[in-house]
Amino acid sequence: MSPDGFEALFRRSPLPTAVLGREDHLIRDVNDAALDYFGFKREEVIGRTSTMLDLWEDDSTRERILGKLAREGRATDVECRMRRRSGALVDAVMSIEPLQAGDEEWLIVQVQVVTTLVEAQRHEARLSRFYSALSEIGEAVARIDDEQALLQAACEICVERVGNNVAFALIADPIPRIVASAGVAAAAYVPGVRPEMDYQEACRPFAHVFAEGTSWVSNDVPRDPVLFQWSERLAAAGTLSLSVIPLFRHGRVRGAISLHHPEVQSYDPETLDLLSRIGRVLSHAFDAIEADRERRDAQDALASLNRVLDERVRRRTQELEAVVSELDAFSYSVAHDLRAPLRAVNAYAQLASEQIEADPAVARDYLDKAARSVEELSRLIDDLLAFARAGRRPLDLSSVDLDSLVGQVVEELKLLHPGAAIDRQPLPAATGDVFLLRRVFHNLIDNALKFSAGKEAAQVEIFATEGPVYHVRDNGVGFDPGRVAKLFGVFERFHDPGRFQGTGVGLAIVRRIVERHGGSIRGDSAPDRGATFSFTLGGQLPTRLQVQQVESAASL
Amino acid sequence: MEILLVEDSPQDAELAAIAIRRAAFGGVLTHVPDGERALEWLRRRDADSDGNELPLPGLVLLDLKLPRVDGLAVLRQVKSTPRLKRLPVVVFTSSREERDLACAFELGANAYVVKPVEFNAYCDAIAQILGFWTRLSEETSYTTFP
Repeated sequence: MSPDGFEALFRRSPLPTAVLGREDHLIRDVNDAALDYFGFKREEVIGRTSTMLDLWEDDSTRERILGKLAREGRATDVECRMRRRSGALVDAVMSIEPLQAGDEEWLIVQVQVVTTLVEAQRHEARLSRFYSALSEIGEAVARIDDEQALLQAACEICVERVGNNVAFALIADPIPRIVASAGVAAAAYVPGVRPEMDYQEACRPFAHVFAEGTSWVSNDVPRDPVLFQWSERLAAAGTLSLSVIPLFRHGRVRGAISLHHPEVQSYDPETLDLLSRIGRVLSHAFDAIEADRERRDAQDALASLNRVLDERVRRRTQELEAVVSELDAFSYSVAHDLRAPLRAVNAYAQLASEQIEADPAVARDYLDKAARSVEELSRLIDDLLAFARAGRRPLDLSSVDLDSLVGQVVEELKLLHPGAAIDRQPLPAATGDVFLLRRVFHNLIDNALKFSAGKEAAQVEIFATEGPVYHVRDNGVGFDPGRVAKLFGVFERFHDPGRFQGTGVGLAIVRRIVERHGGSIRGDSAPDRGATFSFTLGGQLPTRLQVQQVESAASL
Repeated sequence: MEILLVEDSPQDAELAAIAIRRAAFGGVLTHVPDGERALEWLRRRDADSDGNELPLPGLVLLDLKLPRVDGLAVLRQVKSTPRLKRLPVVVFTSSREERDLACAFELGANAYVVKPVEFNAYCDAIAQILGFWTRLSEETSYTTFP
């Protein structure tokens, strides 16, 4: 055989083969099969001996083979047990043949790997465990729609089914942190490993997975130089194999699952393929969960937007309806109430002219009445203008000292109602239009005085309660609560025109001002039980019950 | 013959009284200033404290916009009370609103007359109401109680 022919045969042989010096037993060359099988790099073995590489299970095997070589000049088919770089022991059949080429003498060492039935069965069993883990994780994906819960389930499956002693999952958002773990708690398991802090510097596997997006494996943790100081700690804690599988979101690495196994050589290419499939299944599940959540969020947002719009439309419609019905009532009242004094003026003028010669005194009486009707008409027009102004005048908002404002109003009204008993409690300051707020208190207190004027011990009270809610209360004739809906309408008079003067615009003006300040108002009463008007200058009034409690408390 | 005038405005009541007098009405005119008192007065006529029925007026002239109880509420009460519902009720108002008219007839008003602003026309309207309803009521009472 030519040296070239031998060279080719040597390189391509599927059997691990080495060329040794005849005397010194130093390794001169090895083929790739040998490097693969024993787990070394070429530069680690060239120029060294098998003893230096710790390839023998024990010295007796080595001595047995060397003895045979010395006696017979060769050693053929010697069964032996050897150690791989990872420390795993393998059964092999070794043959050694001498080779002379020129002056040089070599030994050709060839190893036939014996895959025992036991090893094959063990491999089979491991694969089957990984498959069942994969299928269980598939079920979990179908069942669980929460990322963290899914990772937790995956970790538990990896520990319980595959025989890992630890599994933990990291998610980077953006700093990696442990979100799920099973087996021995990850943090307690490797003291000092804080993935959220150390993953880039100290813990190379995570750095690799995050940077490259591919799995990282060590099948021999105690001897893995990449793990630095961690290899010792991991080994001490029982991890001899370690794999880290990337988790993706939208094609980018977003996290990792770290699996720790108590045996060396746990993750062969087949199991690694299964593990990366587990990673892909989980990654797809995350994308699906996120898409589902985004869809739900979008639906929720749409629904809530619809609700907001509905509510806005409803409120606007209500406001519009209120404005329309107010306008309607207003024009109705104007048509009805302005005509009455006009008719009277016309009639009295007519009657006066009929009587002017027959009875001048009667005629003058009619003319007086006509004049009074004109005055009434003028009053109505003034009030209508005030009402219109209350609605149209731009609000000039400032902080209003209601105490002094109400004090002034009360002083003015006392001139018209001498001897009136007005009890004025301190009122909190408010923000509003001082001109319009004066009108509110003027009209309410004036009404209270007017409708309690006939009473013995007539009493008007002005006070505020929590909110603040402002109240003006009298103990006068009150009104029929059944007609409260009309209370604030224009020209609504609840009492005889002969007994109580007024055009019926006052409360309409009050309501309009209160509502323009964003508040609300209402009146509570019963005939002859007095009346209480309560209003806010922003926000709704408390419910009826609360106001009644307030009132009864205040009346104690 | 008696007329019940339900009218809150003192001037309008005075004008109605003058117009009724001018229409040569010879009976009794009773004026009440609001709906509540109108109903009280009518109930008292319907049955007194001993349960005796008293004579009802021949006509009610009813304004719509009234304090306490408004005209339409009075009308609803009258037309849903067994004996009172036979009472001729003429709604006499300033309102030209379609809905008031419709509502009044819906509730059983016998006529709906808008008060004219011009006084002569006002008197004519009263005269026509009285001319029509007082004669009719006489005939009705004749045929009802032969």
